[in-house]
Amino acid sequence: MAFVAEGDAPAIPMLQAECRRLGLPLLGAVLPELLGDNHFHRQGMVAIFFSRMPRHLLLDGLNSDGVALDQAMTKIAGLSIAGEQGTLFLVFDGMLPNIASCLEGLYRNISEQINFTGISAGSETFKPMPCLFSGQRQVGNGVLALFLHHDPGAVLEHGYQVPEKMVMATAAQGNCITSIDWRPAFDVYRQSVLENYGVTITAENFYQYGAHFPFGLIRADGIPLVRIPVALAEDGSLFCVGEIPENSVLALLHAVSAGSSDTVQAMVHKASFLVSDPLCCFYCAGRRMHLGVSEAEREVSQLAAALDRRLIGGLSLGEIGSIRQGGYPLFHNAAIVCSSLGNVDD
Amino acid sequence: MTETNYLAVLYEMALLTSSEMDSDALIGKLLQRLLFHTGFPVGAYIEYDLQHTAAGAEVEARVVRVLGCNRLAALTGQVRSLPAGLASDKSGVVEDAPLLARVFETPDHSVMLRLSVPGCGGFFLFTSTMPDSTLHLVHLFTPVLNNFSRVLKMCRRYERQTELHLKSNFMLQSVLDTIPVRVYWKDLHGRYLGCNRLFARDAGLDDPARLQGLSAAEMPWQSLRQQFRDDDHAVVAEGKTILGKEYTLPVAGGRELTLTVNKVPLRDETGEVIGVLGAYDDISARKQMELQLIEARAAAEQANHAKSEFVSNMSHELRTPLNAIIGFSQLLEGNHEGNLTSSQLDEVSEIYHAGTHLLGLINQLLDLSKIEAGRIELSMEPVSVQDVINDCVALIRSLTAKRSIELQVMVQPDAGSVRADYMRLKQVVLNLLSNAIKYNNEQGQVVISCYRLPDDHLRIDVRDTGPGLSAAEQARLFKTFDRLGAENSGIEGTGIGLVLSKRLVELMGGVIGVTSAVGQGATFWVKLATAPGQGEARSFEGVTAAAGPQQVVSEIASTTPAVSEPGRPSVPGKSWRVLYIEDNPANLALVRAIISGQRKHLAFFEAISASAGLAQAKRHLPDLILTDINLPGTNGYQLLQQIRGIDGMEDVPVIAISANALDRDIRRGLDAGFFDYIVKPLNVATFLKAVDRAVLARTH
Repeated sequence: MAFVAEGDAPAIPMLQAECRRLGLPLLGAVLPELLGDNHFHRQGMVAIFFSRMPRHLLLDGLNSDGVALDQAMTKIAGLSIAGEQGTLFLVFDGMLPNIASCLEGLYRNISEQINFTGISAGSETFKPMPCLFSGQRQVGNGVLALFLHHDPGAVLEHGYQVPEKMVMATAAQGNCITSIDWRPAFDVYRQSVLENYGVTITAENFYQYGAHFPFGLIRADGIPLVRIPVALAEDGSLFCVGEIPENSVLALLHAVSAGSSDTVQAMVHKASFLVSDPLCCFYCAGRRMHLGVSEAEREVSQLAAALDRRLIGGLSLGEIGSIRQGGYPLFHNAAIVCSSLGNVDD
Repeated sequence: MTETNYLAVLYEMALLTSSEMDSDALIGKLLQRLLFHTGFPVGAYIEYDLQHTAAGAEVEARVVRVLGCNRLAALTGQVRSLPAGLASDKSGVVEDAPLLARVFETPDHSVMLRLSVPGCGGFFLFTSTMPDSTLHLVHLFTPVLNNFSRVLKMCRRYERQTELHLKSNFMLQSVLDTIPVRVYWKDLHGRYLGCNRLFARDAGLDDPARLQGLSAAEMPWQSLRQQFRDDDHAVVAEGKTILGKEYTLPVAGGRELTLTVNKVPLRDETGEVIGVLGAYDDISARKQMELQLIEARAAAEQANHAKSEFVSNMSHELRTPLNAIIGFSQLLEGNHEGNLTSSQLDEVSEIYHAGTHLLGLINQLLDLSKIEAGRIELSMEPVSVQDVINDCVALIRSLTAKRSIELQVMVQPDAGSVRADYMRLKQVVLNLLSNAIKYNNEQGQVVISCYRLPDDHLRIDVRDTGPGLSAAEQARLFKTFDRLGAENSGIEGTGIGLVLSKRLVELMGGVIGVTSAVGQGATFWVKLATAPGQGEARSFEGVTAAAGPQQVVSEIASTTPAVSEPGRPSVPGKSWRVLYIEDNPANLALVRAIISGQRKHLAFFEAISASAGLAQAKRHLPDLILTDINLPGTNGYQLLQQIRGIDGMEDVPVIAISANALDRDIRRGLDAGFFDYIVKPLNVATFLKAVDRAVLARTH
């Protein structure tokens, strides 16, 4: 399996050709940047070799109607076999607006007590691109799914906290919030950021600040689901990574602070079952944008040191998993996710 | 979590619980949302009834929905016994891995969070590790689940009602679709509200539901739109009911249907008119059948007419030669010249009898033909059965003598009268007597008896001592031309007599039948209604006909060839002239022979055509004109008119002599002004009587 840096995405056909020549099965995704040696890299490839190719699917066309989506999720559910322990690793195209719905549909279909983890891939500029590939084809608007036999799952954490003040997404569809509290979404967002953080956001600097002031979907167990706004439409609608259900109660979250080790500590606390070395680590691109590259690399170094593992992986546009190990899988933003990625005794 | 956070979650969950009317979908959505909010990986919705379970007892519970665990999902739909500690009306946490594993067969889950749904059951969330705190979750979801309980009950009630409604609708639609009548109903604005499948098909729709909302403007029967609108208006505005109105309706596919339309006001439960209910009955097939029947009847009538014409023509054609045969044989039998030997007279007699037999056959065929055509006319009147029997006995005596049959007549004194046609009843009785004699054993016995029945009927029995009839033979009786094998017996017969008798009796409202057994003779009987007020008693007569040398009796025997005494009108010095116009030389010769032989005082003139006849009439001014009807060129009726146009001939009697022997022919002739109408073949005596009467009338 190959994670290719966006900067080297043009080389994917060559990689495919070479794998075909060697008779190696290939699956992969394009990530904004790669992670290795506790640093982010704009170019290169992380390759993970499986002694036996896991059961897998590469599906596209998930941006179509509900029936096709249900059929796709049913196919993916078929990767797990009743009674089998393992982890379903999913890589979605980050441009899909309905990843959370896909996950819910998949969970309804799968009904098997397995672990879920994964990321969304693509360009950090959110330009559509065929970011998923196999040895034969390269697709967008799809998902790459692997069932990793005996894999114990992943550790996922974002460390974002829920503030007291709430707003409500009164009109939303997919990952687009049209209005908040019955007003244009951007107006409310700008006003909230100004009132809470004293920062004036304009259409021009929106992308620069969005990662610092993400929305959170409030959950009853107190851990919010982070939704980073990444684009602004002319009518004031906000586009997030991940869906916002209509009438969702949102909070303008306190992003993690630079220098904080809360997230790392929380991860280490839960990561005792991750025994392999190196571990696969995906770091949210939005989180890195908020913290900055050096602070993000510091956090990664701190995590690697605390776990006493090497970390390889890349920047992700969204993360799949549960804050609690073996818990209900959700589509997160701003999270760090670590897993063995099948690198276990089989 | 702050208070605001809780309220936010409550708000979202409250919206969720009111977002679905489908109970299964609602349960599924809420279950998934509970997993979303709690992070528990596995959840189930389980229903149980605590109200009807004793405290501390196990609870019968049904697993309704499961998410996140295949093994638990396998229990979906099953009823499980839950220990009292698991099923409760209170929310709470159960941390008892062995118990959970035993009950739910999921060894991986040591912790269960029960979120009670009051009055319904609860959401059971499972996980393998104890969360930091579940107390706030229990409190948080309590109002949500209380609300969910009410919504779920409403959903279930709505689903039951919907199901009943659908079943009821389905049943109604099934009934409507099954009945062979087109049914629809419209609102007050003429918009269709519904219909059955037959109506939808006529409207060109494959599904009755597609008619809803359409108007008459969108139907194929545009030519009748205004009429339908007027009907609907009458039904809605005046509360009128339209029943059995016929329309020819153009329907989808270019077909046309003939329909009877019924329309009644459609009313709501308060009786207010809310539209029109219509039912169309397709009578196209019936109409088509009626048309075919009319055509068939016309064809049958035409065929019958043709047949009657044929029979009439044949009768005419057969009577014409018979006229010569019977007429001349009668003249010869009279032996007026005295030059015929006894042997020759016997031979002449054979010719005469063969001729009369043939004539009888023709007459019977004519009668049958008339009955079948429904053209026989009966003169129904009170008829004395005694008189009929007397007449018949008189006529049949010669036959009894010939076959040495003893004929006994036994008429009940108060037998009285029946309602019948005298001549036709006589024909029937004569036929039965004739058969009884013909098919009897030599020196056998025939008894004709008549007696009243208790039910105002009178029965005539004709009993013979013949060989009798088997059941099979009896079944073949009364069938045309079936002589039961007597064809080769040498006994004269046509196979028509009994058929004719049966038809005549039935036409007179009676019944004819037979009782017989092989070797025990047969009794043919006729049952007729007595004539009202005609039951006066007559003296009982028991007559035994003595055998004697009399003539063979047949229909024509009533006018036996016994030649009349020559009559001469008492006008001294008057020369009486008779003109006969006839194109058939044989007929001409016969009448010439009769007149010249037996009415020597009459001067006889003849003509072989109408024009020649007219010329003769002008020249001789005859006292009596005899004319054929079917003359070439000018028929007898035209000729009669022309004769009346000759000076001095205005009142001269003109007698028609024709082989057109149907009743209608005779009536027509008399109505046209003929003095008399004599049918061929001529009975010499009858003919001479008519001639004498005409001459006598001229004298006066």
